[in-house]
Amino acid sequence: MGSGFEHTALAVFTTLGPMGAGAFIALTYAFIAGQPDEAAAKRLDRWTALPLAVLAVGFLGAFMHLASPLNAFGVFSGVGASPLSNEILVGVAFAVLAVVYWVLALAGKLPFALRKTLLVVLAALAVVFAAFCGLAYMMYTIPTWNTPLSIVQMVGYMLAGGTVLGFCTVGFAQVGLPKGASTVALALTLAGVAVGTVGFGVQIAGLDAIRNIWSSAAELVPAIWMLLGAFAVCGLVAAALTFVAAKKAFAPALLVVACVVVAAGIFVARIGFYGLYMGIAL
Amino acid sequence: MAQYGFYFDATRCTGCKTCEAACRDYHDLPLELSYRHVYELEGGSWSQAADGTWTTDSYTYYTSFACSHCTNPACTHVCPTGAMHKDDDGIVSVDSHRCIGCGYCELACPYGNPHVDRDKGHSVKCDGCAERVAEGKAPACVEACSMRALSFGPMDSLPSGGVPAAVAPLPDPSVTTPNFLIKACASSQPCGSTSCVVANAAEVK
Amino acid sequence: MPTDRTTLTRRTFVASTGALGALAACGTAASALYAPTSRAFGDESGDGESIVWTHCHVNCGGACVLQCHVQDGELKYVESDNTGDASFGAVEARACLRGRSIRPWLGSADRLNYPMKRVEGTKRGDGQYERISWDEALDTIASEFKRITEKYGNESVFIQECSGVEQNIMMNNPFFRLFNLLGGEVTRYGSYSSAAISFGAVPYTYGTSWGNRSLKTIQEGELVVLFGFAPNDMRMAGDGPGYDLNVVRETKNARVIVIDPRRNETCTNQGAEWIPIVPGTDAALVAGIAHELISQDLVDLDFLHTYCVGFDEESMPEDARGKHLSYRDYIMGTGYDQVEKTPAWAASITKIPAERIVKLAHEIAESDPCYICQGLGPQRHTNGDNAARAIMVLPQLVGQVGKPGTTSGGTIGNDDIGLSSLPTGDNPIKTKFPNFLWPEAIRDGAKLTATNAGILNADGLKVGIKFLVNYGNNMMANQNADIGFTTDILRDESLCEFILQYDVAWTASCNWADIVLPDLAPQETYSLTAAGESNDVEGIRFGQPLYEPKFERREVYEVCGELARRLGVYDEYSEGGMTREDWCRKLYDELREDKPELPTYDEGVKMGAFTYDIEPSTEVDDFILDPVANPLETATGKIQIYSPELAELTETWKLQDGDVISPIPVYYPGFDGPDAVTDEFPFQIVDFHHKGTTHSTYAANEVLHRLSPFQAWINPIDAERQGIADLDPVRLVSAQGEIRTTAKVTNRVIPGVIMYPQGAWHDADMQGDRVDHGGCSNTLTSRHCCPVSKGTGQHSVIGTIEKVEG
Repeated sequence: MGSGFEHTALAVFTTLGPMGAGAFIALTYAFIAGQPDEAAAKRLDRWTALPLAVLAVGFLGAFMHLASPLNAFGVFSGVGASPLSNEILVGVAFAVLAVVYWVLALAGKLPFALRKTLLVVLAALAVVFAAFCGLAYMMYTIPTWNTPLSIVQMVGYMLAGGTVLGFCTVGFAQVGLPKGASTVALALTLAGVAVGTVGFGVQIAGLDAIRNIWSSAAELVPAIWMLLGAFAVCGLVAAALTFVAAKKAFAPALLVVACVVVAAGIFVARIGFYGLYMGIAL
Repeated sequence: MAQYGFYFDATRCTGCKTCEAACRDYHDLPLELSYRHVYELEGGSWSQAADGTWTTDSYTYYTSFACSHCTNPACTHVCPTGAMHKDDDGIVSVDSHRCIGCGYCELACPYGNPHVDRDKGHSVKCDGCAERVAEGKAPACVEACSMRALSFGPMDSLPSGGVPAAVAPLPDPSVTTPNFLIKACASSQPCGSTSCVVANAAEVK
Repeated sequence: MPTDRTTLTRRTFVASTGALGALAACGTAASALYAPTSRAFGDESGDGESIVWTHCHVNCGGACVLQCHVQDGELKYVESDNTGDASFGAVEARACLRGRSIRPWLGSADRLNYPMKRVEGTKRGDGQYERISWDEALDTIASEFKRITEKYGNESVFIQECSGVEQNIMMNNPFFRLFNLLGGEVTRYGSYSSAAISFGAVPYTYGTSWGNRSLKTIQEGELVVLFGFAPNDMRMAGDGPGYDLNVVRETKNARVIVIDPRRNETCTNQGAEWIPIVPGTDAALVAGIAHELISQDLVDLDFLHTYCVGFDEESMPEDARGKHLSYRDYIMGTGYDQVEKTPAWAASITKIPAERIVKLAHEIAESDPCYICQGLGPQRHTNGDNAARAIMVLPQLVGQVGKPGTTSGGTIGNDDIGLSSLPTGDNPIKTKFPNFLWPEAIRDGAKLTATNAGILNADGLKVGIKFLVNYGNNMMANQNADIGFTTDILRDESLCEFILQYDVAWTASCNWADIVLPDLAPQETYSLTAAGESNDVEGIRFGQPLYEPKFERREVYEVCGELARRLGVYDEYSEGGMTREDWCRKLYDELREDKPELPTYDEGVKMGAFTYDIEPSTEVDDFILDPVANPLETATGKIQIYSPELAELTETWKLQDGDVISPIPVYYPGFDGPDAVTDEFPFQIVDFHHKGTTHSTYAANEVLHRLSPFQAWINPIDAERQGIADLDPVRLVSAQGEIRTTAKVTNRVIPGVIMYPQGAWHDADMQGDRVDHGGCSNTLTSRHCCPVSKGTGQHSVIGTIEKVEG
């Protein structure tokens, strides 16, 4: 038990990692629905550094959390058995593929068909990565976390954060998108906010039934509903900003604000989640 | 090889915490870290009669536990590197060269045993005083107990009268199959009891 | 997992000898049994690590073996006694958490390293000290001793008790030995531990210590009733009484009842029944039980008439008959107060339901034998003389003293191997005062008399204390009652003119000294000691220094030798240059003259320690067998429920209003007892010995603080009323002062009572607000003491507890 802040590095990781990955869903939409010309595609490829950087900062958070980061390669020996190994494997697989995609794209060696395929795979992997991030917390000795809702909320955060970040990237790259893109952006963000809110909310609603020798899980983080509310409000604000920005050709200034707001909301929710750590007995 | 484990005779324990003191001293543990915990639980209430006299049905009992060297350990299950492992004697140990210090073992263990020591760069935990045992000695905690309430050895050699640990504040033994036998005392409450609370929070929190 | 480390010698010894007699029967085999082992010593592994044997030294009543692993002059870790039989019921002098945590204590930042003196121009209590040389320190002490003894006489010199070093042959004896060569000093009688029972109860009941048997005497299935006795909280060693109780409970199926305001560790896991009682009301409980025994005809009248004085009219001394002064008269409502001491009457005072008192009376009457004893808690109240005597009456009423399976109703018995301590020579000054009154002896001097202050061997003091030696204690600002009162006296240099503090660590008491000297810890020098003084075993620990002295710390025998040189008595003092180690050898050899089967000193040093078990006596006491031929050393030769000596004191002694001396052990509330609570001070605040420390020794060890914190125990009912939650920061306040601590909200204390561990180190700005942030219980305690013994009443405190906000 604790405040949740002792896991700040992990919260940074589970906020920024899936967000960076989730941005590739918007990129996939931008390339497939937007059909950018060569110059716009080049701009977008350059700006793809942004979600990759966010992803990298996320991984840095995970790395910082380790007591012996230099031994980190050993994590793959637990693949299959350890949910943490699985999470890292999927995350690293995503990152490697994303970097390969990016390098090929920058080098101009990415035919559209291959680009499309890679983007679809990356978008799918982003979902899987988010799911595995949640799965890693499903330990049978931690009843507060041991629920599929841990997965659901991560997918929601990924979708909400990733969509905003992805459209921000598109905006910076000044890629023209078809009519209706604003609606897509709004819908994806709202869907993410909804999934995240419901996922976390249902988890919180179930805390009353869980207790160990110290307390009821409902007493762990007295402000837990406020934290969830903060995420929902941030998500809605970010969704609104994204929608408004979309009307102005995805005005990047507004989208930067939206990114910060949604990331802050997710981070707050993640801190709340870690605050819900409670062993089955002690 | 035989599976080693601990035995705790709750009927003899006085909650003196000498086991923990000896462990701390032998392993040179920092103040905030302990491989052995002594929980004091209490329950019940007081009532006053019309004549002002008091009666109480309250109770207090201690449980001393370290690593349960489980047959199905939660810590090894979540360990991403295999650093947390069961050795030949069934002792759950940390391979410090492989451990990355991710802290999942600490989160997962329902007995509160492994801790990430950031200075050392890896998890640390009760290893049943493996070095001492290899020399034919008892673990520091066992040898320290004035009341002879603790034993350690192959499971089939432990004193009779114990059953797999199933008292609060410990988890149900079905969770990880602990190699830890307890002879419960009259006040002991079952796992998951919600009628008792931790009475020595200042010492174990 | 027993280990066979070729320590067979010791184990064979323990296993093969139930008692010394059995050992003697081994005859010539003894030397083979003690063959020194080589494995326990020296650098076994070649990594520079060696084992040095010494012992724990904390005045708990034990003296546990410490087997220290030392490397490069530093203590690495401690093992204890693992050389005997590890099975349940066998004896090994296993140290408790205190001894096991000696390493952080020896290396503590609080340790004293150099001689210090109070900075000129500052007053005692200002806390400003500067480092000086040993020569300057010793010259100052010697010259002050000369100046003060020339001006005021040797009766102005006083050496305090020395709890911190009480368990070896040296103690503070070097100071006595030195001063006795120079005209002597006024001395004390009684201690903070047991003054009331030892000087206010036993002499008037049994004359001398009589009838005490250890817990080992307990017979199959018998009832054990413990009044305020918590061996599993205080004496937790593997050869101590807590262990003995645990063993008889399990192996003899003894049923144990504990009467205590706090659920002590005998009634946690071990399942003894706890009868919660209002502190300081034990005599009332005994009276209520006595009423039931008498009215149900359950008293052993034959026993009372044969062996006791004062139960009823028939057994009263002749000159006291016809005045309704007997205990029976007191109980049945025909005595001085005309109040019948029914169980309901006792219930109203003790807060124990009357039915439980009645049941207890029957349980006691039905158990034969029945083991009834008391700890030292009941007698540390302002009515403690009477409480201690009253509890002794209980087994007398049912004839359960003087035979196997019983004790005296006083404390438990123990054995002792008979090791002498450093001889102190003859003190030409015979005047003694009650230990508790030393601050008054400084302030009031000649105003203290035999009849108003219990001065012994003289009509009164000639002069106040002018030269005060505190060696191995923390009396001035920690362990004596009412620190504010005491230190105000110490601050006035016109009263006590010179104060020496000589200790291992800078305690609050150092702030009131003129010179402070740095001692070696007992583990850092030679420390020969017998097995624990409260333990029913015999044994010796041959303590060797763990490492060379660090900094400028020096041990007491050598330091007093240096003073002896300056005062011209070195040869007599040292008997021609004997060292501390020489004395260890000499005193051990003297013991061995009586017990030739023991190992030689050199063999003992190689062994490090030995302990062997004692079989309890199966004999009925001589006095019981023939009370005429073997009278007790009381005024009447019998057990005295009515004491003629006390009857005389009631005529001659001057008491303060409210104090009571009674020839029979009546219940009276005393000062600051349960009936004294007010709206302002609604709680009794009672300190107790907890597991982490004994007194203030070790009490600044952060590991022990973690394992056994100083917290105020409060019942959930009281906590709710006061708005206090577990772990909340709180203040405890009495008329004497205020301390800060945290709350432990627990069912383990009776409502209306706050239990708080004693020994925490005082930490207050005594020239400022005096709030004690260290949490020393004696910030709260008062100067009220017991009327007969003048023993401390430190458990009688009323006060309040409040949450500290913010």
